[in-house]
Amino acid sequence: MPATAPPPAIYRSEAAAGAGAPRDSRDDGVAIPPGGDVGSDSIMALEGVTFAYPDGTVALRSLSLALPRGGRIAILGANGSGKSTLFLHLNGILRPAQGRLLFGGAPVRYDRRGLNELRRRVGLVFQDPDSQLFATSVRQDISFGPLNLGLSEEAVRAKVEAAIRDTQIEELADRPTHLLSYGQKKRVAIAGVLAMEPEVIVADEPTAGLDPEMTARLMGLLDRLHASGRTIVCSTHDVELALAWADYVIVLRHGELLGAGRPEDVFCDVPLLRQARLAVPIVLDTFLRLRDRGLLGTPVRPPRTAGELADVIAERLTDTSPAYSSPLGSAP
Amino acid sequence: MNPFPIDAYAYANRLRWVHPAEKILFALVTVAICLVSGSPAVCLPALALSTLVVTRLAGIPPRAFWHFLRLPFGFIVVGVLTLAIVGLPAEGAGEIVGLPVGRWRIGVTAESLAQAGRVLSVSLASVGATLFLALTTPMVDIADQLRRWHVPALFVELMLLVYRFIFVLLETAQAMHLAQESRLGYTTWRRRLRSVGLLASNLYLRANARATALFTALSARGYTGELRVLQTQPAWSRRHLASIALADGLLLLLALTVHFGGAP
Amino acid sequence: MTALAAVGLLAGAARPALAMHIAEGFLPPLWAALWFVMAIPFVALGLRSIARQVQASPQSKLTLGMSGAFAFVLSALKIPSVTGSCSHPTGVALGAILFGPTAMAVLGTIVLLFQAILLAHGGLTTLGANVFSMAVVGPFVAYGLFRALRGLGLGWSVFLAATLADLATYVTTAVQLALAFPAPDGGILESLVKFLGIFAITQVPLAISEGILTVIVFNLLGQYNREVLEEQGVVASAAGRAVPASVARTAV
Repeated sequence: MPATAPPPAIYRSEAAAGAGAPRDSRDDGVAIPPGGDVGSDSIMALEGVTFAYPDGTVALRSLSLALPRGGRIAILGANGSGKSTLFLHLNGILRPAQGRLLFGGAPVRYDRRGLNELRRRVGLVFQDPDSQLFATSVRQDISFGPLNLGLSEEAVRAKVEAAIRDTQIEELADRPTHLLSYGQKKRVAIAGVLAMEPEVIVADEPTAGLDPEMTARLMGLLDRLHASGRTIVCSTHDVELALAWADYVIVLRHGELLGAGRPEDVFCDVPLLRQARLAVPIVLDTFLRLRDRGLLGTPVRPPRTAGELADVIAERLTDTSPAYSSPLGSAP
Repeated sequence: MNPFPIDAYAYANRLRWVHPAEKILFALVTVAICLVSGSPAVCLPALALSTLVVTRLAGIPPRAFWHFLRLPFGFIVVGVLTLAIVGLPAEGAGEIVGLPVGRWRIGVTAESLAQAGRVLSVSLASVGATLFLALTTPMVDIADQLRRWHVPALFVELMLLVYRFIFVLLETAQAMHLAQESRLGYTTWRRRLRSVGLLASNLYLRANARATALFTALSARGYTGELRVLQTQPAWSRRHLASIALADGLLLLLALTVHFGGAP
Repeated sequence: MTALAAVGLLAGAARPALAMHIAEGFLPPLWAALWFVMAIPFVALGLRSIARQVQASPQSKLTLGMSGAFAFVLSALKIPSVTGSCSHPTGVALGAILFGPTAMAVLGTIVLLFQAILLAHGGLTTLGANVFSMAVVGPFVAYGLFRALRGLGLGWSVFLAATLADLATYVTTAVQLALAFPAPDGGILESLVKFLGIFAITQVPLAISEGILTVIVFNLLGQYNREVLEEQGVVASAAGRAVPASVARTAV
C-alpha cells in the first residue's frame, strides 16, 4: 500500500450533517472536522489490518482507522469487538497478519529496533494492574521500562522520579505493591508506562472497578497527561464518560470499524449504537427525545454533559423570542 | 490487609531504612554465635538482645514479638521432648525418670535433659535473631542485598516474582474459599477435601492465565527475558556497624568465657 | 470479608501442622552446613535448567514465578487429615509433576525461604536441610514414582507418587534429626526410630490425605483443561502439542 493511502473509511453520520456549522472541539482538544476525517494529522493509523488468533478466532477484519494526534480518543465496543486485540497491535505485541500499522505516517518495522521504538512511543496501561505490576517496590516497577530502553542509571532515576511526580504517587512510592488499593495500583501502573515518556498512552478500561472519586481522579490524571501534549486512547463501555471526556470516538464491532468521529455525532446515531450493543448516553437520549418532540426548536448542538444539557434546556425556558412559544409554558 | 503480620511490620518499623546488610549481618552473626556455642548461658542473653532490639529500637510491640516467637514452638517442643526421652541402657544409669516398655526402658537422663535444654535455648535464640531480620527488613531489601552479594540474578528475580504473586494468588484463593464456604463446601471430610482440590486446580489455572497476562504487559514495556530494575542504594552507618560489633563482640566474649571457663 | 477469609485460610498456617520444617537453630552447625552443601548442587542444577528454559521462552520465567507463588499458597491451605484433624499439604508431588523436579528444587527453596521469613516456619540455618528433604528428595521421589508407575493409570500413579513423596520427605527429616542427635546409648538407629515414631502420628495420615487431594486436583485439571496437562507433558497429547490460544504470535 502506498504511503499516501486514501484516508481510512470513516463514518459520516446524519447527525453530524444536521449539527450545523463545524465548530472547534472543546477547550484544549484538537479540532476534529465534522466528518471525523483525521487522515492527514493522525499520529497512528491502521490500514486494512486483519488478525486471527492461532485458535482461528478472527479478531480484526481489514480494520482501517486513524488516531488524531493529541486527541482524547475513546474506543467503544461490546466484549469481543476487538478492542484489546487492537490495543496489543498499537504497541507491537501483536503483529497484523495483513495490512499495516503506521506511526507518524511511517509504517512500523517489527525488528528489534523498530519494536523498541514503538514501545517507547506507545505505552499500554492494562485493565488489571495486578497483571502489570511485577515488582513489590513501586520505584523498581517504574524503573523497568526505562531500563529496557538502555538508558543510563542516572537518566532512569530521573525519569522514575518525574513519573512519580507527574502521577502524584509520591506518598505511595515507598509502600509495597501488595499494600496498595486497586486505584493506587492503577496509578502506579500508569507511572510505569509514563516513565518511558510515550507520545501515546493507551489505557484498557481505565475506570473499570473504580469508585466515582477514583474515576474522577484517574481521568484527571489522564487529562493532565493529555494537556502535556500526549495522545490518550481509552477503551470503555461507559458511554457517558466517553461522551463527556473524548474528542474523538471509535466504535468497533466484530473486529470491524462501525463508526468514528466526534462523540456528539457518533452518540446521536442510535441505530449505530444499537448495532454496536452500546447504550445511548442518558444526556443525549434526553436531548434527542426533547428535540424529537420539537421542544428545542432550531438546530442546537448536542450537549456532552448534564451541565450542557441543562444549559440547552435553560436557554429554551428563558427564550423570550416572540417566534417561539414554549410549550412548557414557562416563558413570560 | 496484609495476610502476613511479620511482613506488615517489615514495612512499618523504625529500623526499616537501616542498611539491610547491617541487619542481615547482625542476625546471622548472632545466630552463628549461639549455634556454635550451644550454651544456654550465651543463648539466653542473645535472645534478650534480640528482644531488646526488636521492641526498643524497631518499636515492635513486645506482645507481637512474643506471639511470633511462639510460632515455631510446635516443632521445637516435640523435637526437644523427643531428645529428652531416650532408651536407657540398664537400670539406674544416670536416669531421672524411667519407664519400662516391653523389653526396654525409656526415660530421661541428666545428660539427655541437658542436651534438650541446650537445643531448646539455641533454637529460641536463633528464632529470635531471625525474627529480628524478618520484622525489620522488607523482602525487597533482602533480595537486593542478595543480588549485591552475587546470588544468581535468576534466583533473585524468581524470588521477587514469587513474593509479589503470593499476595495476588492468596487474594484469589481467599475469594474462592469464601465462595465455597458460603455454599457449604466445607461441611464434611469428603466435601472439604474435594473443595480444597477444586480450589487448588482453579488457582493453578488462574496462575497460568496470570503469567500469560503478565508476559503481555511486560512485553509492552520491553521485556525480553530480563527483569532489570533500579537497585536501592542504602547507606552504611558507622554507628550501626560499631553497635553491631559491640553487641556481637560481647556475645562472642561471653561464648568464649563459657567455653574455656567451663560454665554450663 | 476478605479479612475474615484471610484468617480462615491462614489461621492454621502457623500451627504445628507444618511440623516437618526443622525449626531455626535446631541443627548443630556442622550438620546445618552439611545439608546446605548437599542441597546447593540440586538448586544450581535447577537454576541452570530454568535459565535454559527462559532463554528459549522469556514467558517461562513469569510462569515459574507464578508457579512458586502457587506452591506457597497451596501449602497455606488447610486440608482435612484422615484422622479428622486439619493439616497443610506439602504440594511437593503436585509441584514436581507439574513443574518438573529440577525446577521444583528452586521453587521449593524460595517457598521454604519465605515460610521461614514470613511465617517463622523452618529457618535460615536449617534451610539447607529443609530444602534437601522437601525440595529435593520429595520432588524427585514423586516424579520418579509418577513416571515409573504410569502403567497403573493416572489416578494410582499420582496417588502413590504423592503419598510416598510425603513419606519420603518425612523419613528424610527424621534421618536428618537422627544423624544430628544420635541417642547416647542406642545411637543413630534408636534416635531414628524415635523421630520416625513421633512424626508418624501426624505425617502418615497427612500423606494419605495429600495423595487423595493430588488425585482430585489432577482429575479436575484433566476434566476442565486438558491442554494444561498436555503442555506440562503430564498426559500424552492427542494431536501434538497444544498451542495456547493466548498471545501466541508475539513479535519479540
